[in-house]
Amino acid sequence: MIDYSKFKVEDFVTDASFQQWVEGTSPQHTAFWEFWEEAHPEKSETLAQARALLLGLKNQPTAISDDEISIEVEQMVGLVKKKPFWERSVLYQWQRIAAVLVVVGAIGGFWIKYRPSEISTMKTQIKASKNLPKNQEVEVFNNTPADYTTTLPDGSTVKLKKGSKISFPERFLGDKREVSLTGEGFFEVVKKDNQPFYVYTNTLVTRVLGTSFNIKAYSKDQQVVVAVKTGKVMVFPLSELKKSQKNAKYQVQSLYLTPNQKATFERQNERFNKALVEQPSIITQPTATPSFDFENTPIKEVFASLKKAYNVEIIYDSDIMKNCSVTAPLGNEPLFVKLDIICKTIGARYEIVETKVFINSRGCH
Amino acid sequence: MKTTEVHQEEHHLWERLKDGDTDAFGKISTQYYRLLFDYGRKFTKDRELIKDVIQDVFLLIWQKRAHIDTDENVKVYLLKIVRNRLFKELQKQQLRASEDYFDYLEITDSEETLIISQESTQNIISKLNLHVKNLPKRQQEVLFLKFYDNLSNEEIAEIMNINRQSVANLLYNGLRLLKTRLFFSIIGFLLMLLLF
Repeated sequence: MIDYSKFKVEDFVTDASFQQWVEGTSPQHTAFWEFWEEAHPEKSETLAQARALLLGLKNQPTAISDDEISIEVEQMVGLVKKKPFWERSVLYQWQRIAAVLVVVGAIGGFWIKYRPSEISTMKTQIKASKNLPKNQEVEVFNNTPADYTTTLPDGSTVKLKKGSKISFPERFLGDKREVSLTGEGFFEVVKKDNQPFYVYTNTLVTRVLGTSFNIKAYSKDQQVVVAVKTGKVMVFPLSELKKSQKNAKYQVQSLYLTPNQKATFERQNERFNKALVEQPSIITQPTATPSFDFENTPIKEVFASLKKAYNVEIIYDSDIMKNCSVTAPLGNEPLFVKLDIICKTIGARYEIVETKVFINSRGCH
Repeated sequence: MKTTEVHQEEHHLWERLKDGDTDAFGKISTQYYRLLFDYGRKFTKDRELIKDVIQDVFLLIWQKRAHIDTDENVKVYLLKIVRNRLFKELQKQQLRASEDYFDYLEITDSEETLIISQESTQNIISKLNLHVKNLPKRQQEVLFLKFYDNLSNEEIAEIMNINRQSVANLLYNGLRLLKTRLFFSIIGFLLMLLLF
């Protein structure tokens, strides 16, 4: 039995039995409290205050009317009813791209079969429309066992893996630089703001202004992987490009990649995924190589320097982790090794979801 | 017994929602909307922002409906996501700095205290609301979750991502502050009546 005689107002307010009495939902509790009140007349003022406080807290005004709620709910129901789910919010962009690809999968499959002629048709169209002089197509095929670096007409370079092939025009005319790739190539593209660089693979198109990135598109592979080292890269299914050519107003569904991110396009189930590359590298200029020599460094600064150096988003609870600090002389070990060490020193764990690093910590003392 | 029935009916609603029943979606949204909205008001006075966040959360629920575990405490889950998203949005907009300004406006805003009748308990209630608004934010939040929706200390701890003892402390200190401010002013009022 609880001894209520020592209870203060705040104790009564949080007491379950007292709450039931005030609510009047339980005859049993009502009887108990009425009896108790009579037996403890010195407490009647305290009880009255507790009662008033509890009623007050339970009956705080709402800030929204029933009508307003109905309007909001109606709107939400309308959204889930009428629009296909993938059109609803930017949050669902990935599903949206996946959906487009599902629809287009059949066309894509068809296109793989007739790829060479398709690309040349596309180029002829561009040439025809602009009435440009004859421009021979150059094809470089790396049949050596080693990597082979070739230079493109604009000074950009491609390092081709063995068995990979690239074709491009003798000169880049018009408003685009277009090449097509089979296999794997690492591109370092000269920046030209008004002449974007396009790489066509069997299912994907990669568009850049000036950057370095790797494309892996072997025809035997089930995936096409585009990994970005520097700069910004846009990737989209070839079908999307075709739609935009037919309709100038059409907005291409695309993926935007920043350094250390990669996009994987699954040919089999036509899915598009964005993730961190396996070995994120430091993206800042060598002259500005950040120091990872942490000495009693607050966790906030540690994560900030990693974020800046590797362009990864690190999600953590700054409130819980506000007392955490790291002492670790880190250098050029890979990002994930750094994260391992940091997490071990503060007793935390990390997890990677898509392109983000989530830190799980119970805080530090 | 009453609560189990309510619980079962809600469970049934969630099952229907999982099957893609938009009607059930509407009912569940209506059921939780006020709680989530009033809770959101503990963090910001930006009504449209709260509505946007709630809409996003419900659309997320709809979209992920196949994966919802109806045996989980859905209410806690909803409150938690609304809280996290609002925080994120507010951080983005850096609105939190100007919050106190809005608080001040609100106290002088009589529309906010619409639902008040003339009775004396109601008098205390209306007074109480002003005092509640002057409590530290986290105390306000705990008091809201505790009394607006009868959540347990464990559930509150889960939503606010703090431990149970902190919830208990916030609750206790909040109540003590309220008591002092509320009853002191009432006594002051009564004294004044006696004097004149």
